[in-house]
Amino acid sequence: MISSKQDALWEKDELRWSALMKQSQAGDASAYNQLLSELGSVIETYLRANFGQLTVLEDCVQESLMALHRARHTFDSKRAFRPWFFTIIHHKTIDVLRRGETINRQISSLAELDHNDIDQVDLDRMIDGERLMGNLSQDQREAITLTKYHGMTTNEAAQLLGIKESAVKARLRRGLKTLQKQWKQEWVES
Amino acid sequence: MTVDRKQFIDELTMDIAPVTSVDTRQSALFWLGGAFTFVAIVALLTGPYRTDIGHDLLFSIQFLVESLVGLASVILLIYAAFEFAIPSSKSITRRLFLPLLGVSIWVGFYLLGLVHPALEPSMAGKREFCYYETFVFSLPLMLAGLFWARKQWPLYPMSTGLLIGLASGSVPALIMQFACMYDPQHILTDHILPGLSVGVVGAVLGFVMLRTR
Repeated sequence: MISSKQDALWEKDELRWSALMKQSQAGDASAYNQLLSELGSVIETYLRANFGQLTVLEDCVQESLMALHRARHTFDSKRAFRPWFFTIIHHKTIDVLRRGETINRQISSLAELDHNDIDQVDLDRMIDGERLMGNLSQDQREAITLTKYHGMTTNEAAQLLGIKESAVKARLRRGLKTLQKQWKQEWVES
Repeated sequence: MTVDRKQFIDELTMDIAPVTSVDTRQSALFWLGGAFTFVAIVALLTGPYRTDIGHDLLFSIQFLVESLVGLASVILLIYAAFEFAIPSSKSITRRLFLPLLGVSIWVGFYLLGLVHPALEPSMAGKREFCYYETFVFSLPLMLAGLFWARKQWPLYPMSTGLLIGLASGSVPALIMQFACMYDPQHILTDHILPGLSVGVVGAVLGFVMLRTR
């Protein structure tokens, strides 16, 4: 009984979305607005069910809606709506999550690089400015700021701080590891 | 719904322009029509066709069948390629199976022809540069197919590119059946091989051109 009710609801949604998309393709803005609003909620539910509490959830939802917008001409009203819709959402979500993982990997590899390699990397592009730096200890922040923001070598930074070069390297390494951990917590929240 | 999302949707839906829903069958038909017309004309401009094609088609069932199988495999390849450019939940393997089976059967006919040729192998009508012609004639077809796919929503760039490349290479390879000498070994090495190698080019170009969705 429940199953048949669910099937009926499923079918009703399918037909409504398909009709709304057809109207949207014809340029009906209100139908399109209604469709995207409904699909936005569906995407959110889908993401929560599959990936739990994502901090990038709203980003995923909006990027998925944008993807649907760009791909709307590829929907054929003679075919089922759901497979088309969920295929796009599935791929888009993977894209967004993979991007997050790539950033994590970049920071992870940075932490393992030796001094010479680290100097050549433009860390500024990857570190979200002062917000992330705020969680580092004073020593670590100094080491990262001098070497990554001001472009000093670890030797120059050591002379300026009046400590050994090995100490600067150690602070740098620990600081980068902290940043990496912070990224993981913020982007891949369980 | 968050305020952000509502605003986002409002902006997205404001003044939307009508779009034409894509029809892969129609697109494949256009491509096929254009591809065969283009290659047939270019092949004619670069050299004569064999004079006894009509006779061969009428009196050799094997030759007729292998030509029709070639045509069918091109149709399957380009239709599958264009379908790949449309989001669908069907598996890649399932979608690749039929067109690749078609190509395999087509090639199989020429392998069979090595021991049992459809026509008496002959040098009549041989083109000096058929190997290069097959490859070069297919390039505009491949680019047209890739540009069409790029306008859709290709989720598997390499597979899409591979199929477009194979279809593009198969058209001149099939036309050479009538525009060049008939000898299964020559067909395999100088028509089919360059034709199918366009598939590799297509896969690489697909990887580059179709990734930017």
